[in-house]
Amino acid sequence: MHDSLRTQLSELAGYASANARLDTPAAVRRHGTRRGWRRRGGAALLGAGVVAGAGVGVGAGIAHPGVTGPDATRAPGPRASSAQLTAYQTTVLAKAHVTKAQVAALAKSGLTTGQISTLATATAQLTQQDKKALTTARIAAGYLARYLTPAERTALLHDGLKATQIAALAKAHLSAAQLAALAAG
Amino acid sequence: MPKADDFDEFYATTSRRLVGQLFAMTGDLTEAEDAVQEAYIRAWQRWPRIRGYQDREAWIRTVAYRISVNAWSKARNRLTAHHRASRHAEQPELSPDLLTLVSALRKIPEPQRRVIVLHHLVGLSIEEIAAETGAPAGTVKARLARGRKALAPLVSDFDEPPSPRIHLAEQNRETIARA
Repeated sequence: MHDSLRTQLSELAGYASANARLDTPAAVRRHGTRRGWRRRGGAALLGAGVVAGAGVGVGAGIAHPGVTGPDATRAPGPRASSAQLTAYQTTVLAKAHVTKAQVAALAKSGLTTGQISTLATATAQLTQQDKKALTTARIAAGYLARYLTPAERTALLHDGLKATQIAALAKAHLSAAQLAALAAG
Repeated sequence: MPKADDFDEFYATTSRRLVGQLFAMTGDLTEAEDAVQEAYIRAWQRWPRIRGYQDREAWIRTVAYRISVNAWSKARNRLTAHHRASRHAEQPELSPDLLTLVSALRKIPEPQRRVIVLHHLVGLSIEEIAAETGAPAGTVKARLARGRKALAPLVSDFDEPPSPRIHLAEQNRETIARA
């Protein structure tokens, strides 16, 4: 028993290394990848559940502004990958009295989420100057005219969106899929 | 998609060594295998990040150790008997000296055992152990000293080979006895 602790530990580790039963690297990778899928799948299912649940309230929220579910105003919630609006989006739009027809018209005109955001920013800037008198018509005709296509301008003018409604649209941050679905619907 | 070749090579060159180190820390081969394998699975899931680490082996060792400690506390009683029964039939038995060492290591507190293994088996310095375990260098030194002290009566000499004087004294005794 004159071996040093280092030697004894090395022998012990050597025994374990020699007798270890390990999977192949490919099997380990497969395991890790599968687990990743399962987790992502679980998260997606959870997200889908939330969106589906929120989707139930979409019709009611848009058709009857102000009527929302109990949890609707708490947080933005997960980004919707489907075309259905989340409870948060529904609430934001409903509070600003944005109708489904208005959003559909905007979507049909090809206005993107980014453009809506830009529009909202510009609107907010203009609102500082003349809050009450501001109409979408003025925005379209003036400040943002150069950024919008004729179809988009027409949609804005036709629907007569107010600054608060544009801000709500920007806040709702509708995805491309949602806008497309609204345009189709 | 993470690079599979890198990972495979890393796994092939390090996994058995890490099982050995974990076995010395835990005293249970099956547990060490499970913990190391699980650590590699987690490493693969984060491979784009981990492959850039300077000391990937230390990452695996730390993760595997944490897994084994958690698993140990949760499922020790339930699984130990089953593991021992199933493994002893298939694997070569440890020599009496190594069995003594395993038994001795199991008797000292787990943080001391970890430090002892990292220092004497892995060959890390106090500072490196402090970095890996997250404990201050002073604590590492204290654990090392306590661990050695606790092991001293249970196992043979540690770092220093037996001194020539002792050898001579033993030889003299043997000579005297023969005479």
